[in-house]
Amino acid sequence: MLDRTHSRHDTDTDTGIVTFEAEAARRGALPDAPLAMPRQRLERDVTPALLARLRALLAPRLEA
Amino acid sequence: MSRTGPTRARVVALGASLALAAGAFTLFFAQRQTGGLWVEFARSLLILMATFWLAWGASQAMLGLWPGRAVVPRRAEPKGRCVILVPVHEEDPRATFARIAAMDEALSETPQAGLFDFAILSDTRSPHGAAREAAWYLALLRARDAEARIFYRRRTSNHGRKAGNIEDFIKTSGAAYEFALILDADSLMSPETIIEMARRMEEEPRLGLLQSLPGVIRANSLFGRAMQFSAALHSPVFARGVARLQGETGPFWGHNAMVRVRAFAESCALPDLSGPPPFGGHVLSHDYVEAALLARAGWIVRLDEDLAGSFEEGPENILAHAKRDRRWCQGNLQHARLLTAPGLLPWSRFVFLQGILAYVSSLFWLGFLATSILAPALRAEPDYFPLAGWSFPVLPPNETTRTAGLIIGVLGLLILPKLLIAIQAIRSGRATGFGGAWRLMVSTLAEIAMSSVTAPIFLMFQTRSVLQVMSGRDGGWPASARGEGRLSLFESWQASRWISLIGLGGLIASWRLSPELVSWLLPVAGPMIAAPLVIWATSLPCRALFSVPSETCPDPILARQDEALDRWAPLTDADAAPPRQEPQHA
Repeated sequence: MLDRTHSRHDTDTDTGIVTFEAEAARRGALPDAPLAMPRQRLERDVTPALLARLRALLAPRLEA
Repeated sequence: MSRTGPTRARVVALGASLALAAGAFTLFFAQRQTGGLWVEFARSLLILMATFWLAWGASQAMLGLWPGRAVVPRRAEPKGRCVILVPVHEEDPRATFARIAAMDEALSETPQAGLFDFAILSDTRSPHGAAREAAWYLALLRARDAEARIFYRRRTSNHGRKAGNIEDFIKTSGAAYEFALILDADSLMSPETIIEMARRMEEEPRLGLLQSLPGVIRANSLFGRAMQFSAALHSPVFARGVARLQGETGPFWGHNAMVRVRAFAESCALPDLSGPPPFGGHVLSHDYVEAALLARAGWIVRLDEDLAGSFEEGPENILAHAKRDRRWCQGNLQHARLLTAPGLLPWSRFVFLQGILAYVSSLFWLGFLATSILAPALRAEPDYFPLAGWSFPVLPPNETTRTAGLIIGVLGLLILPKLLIAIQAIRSGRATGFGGAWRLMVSTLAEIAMSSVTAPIFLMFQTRSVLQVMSGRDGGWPASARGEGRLSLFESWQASRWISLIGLGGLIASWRLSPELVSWLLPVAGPMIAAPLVIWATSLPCRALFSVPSETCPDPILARQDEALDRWAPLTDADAAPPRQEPQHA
């Protein structure tokens, strides 16, 4: 995801700007110290809960 | 802080706001006399909601007027490493990096210098913007000799926008740091404040996020300076009220806040919401959600309004403010999707609701005005003898009396807190920073006058934003408008002629349907009709009014920023880049 190599630009060495981007990416490289970020749940999926409640409600009657 | 503190404050503030809202409702709901039940009920309900929102704001100020307990700092020195994150998106790199240079220079003179790194996290997409950033980053490295201390990386994908940008950083480098100070591109903080925040984080291991109160600086226009004055004078009091209400479930405003990296990593990776924008997709106002998620995971989120030396820049004109507000509006309305998110604390849900109300209340006000104009046409003939056996006539309520009552109430809720804050500032000696008691009072009255004139214009911009979001229009991710805010009259006219037309239409409708309301409607319709003039005039430079402490006794970090900017002033973008090396051929 990180654009550290700028491969598209690096092939074009005629422009100074391209060199700056590559050099900035190289000299600015972030420390390599990964930390996991587990994705959070924000949306309540009501369907399974509703179905479970309905099933609990109906099951005894169906069995009877 | 004890748990009973916020609960008591919440009960008082909610009780007072509900009582005032009920008062406004009863002022207008008098169906027996007029016979037009549904019109009266509808507008009484609208005024109830609108008044509740106003009263809620006023109650926060009142809570904040009560002096805070002095913080007795324990002198534990910070030991954990801290990264100062500067996410940027199509910003002016010279100005942004000058702030970083100033903060880095100031921090380097403290004993804790070795604890702090900077990371510039770019989401800039334009090739020109990216090239400028790279060139000025290399200039920053040269100026500060900061390789392996000031980092820079640019993403090719902007997934998750600012929240995704920070998430990417944590996934790459988060384990290297105990704390992260999250800034905006226009943020500036004194080294003492940064170190004090790290110290407070160190002292309270359950503290997941510590929010400072950023003051607005460097405003030049009449509008910008009025905002800057209000932020300097009113915001500390409002923030103290907010801190009292929120307790350990405090706010996160997205910047000028320090997080415990481990807490943030384990709690704050935001998912995309199902469905398309504006209600689905990336979480736009991610800061509120991150605060709620930290609280959900058991971390303390705290606002310490006593932390000075925390600054940001504000919009310089009404249009820039409205543009930013459009983004915030979409973000806050999107929180409607999260009201039922699993596991959130009740107060976090209430904060979402409050954010939604902040924007939807403009619809309540506009609906109230519209129904008030239309009410006479929709009402049934008054029944002068509604009570059987009661031989005296019951006269319909006097519209003028009701409107006067409402205006007095509204002005009281809007103006009284500001006047009380000014008086408290004079009594406590805080007025000195505002140029003394007289200048403070003159500025206060000018700010009240100006906010009264601009309020109907903001009402219209907010209403448009709410309607746009509700009709499914996504505002995208525009770059922030910073710096010079002067507008031409033509630009102002183009952006606000629709407001003038609606104001004129409302006034004509009132003159035809409710002539007795015309004079009461003028304070709202007048500024609307004159919106282009107001927007243009308030964007002009002004130095005469609104002195603030950041001008009369500026924090040294501001001077450092000026020096950094002065050093770079003669440089062009090309000068900023290092001398080109000739390619070496084999």
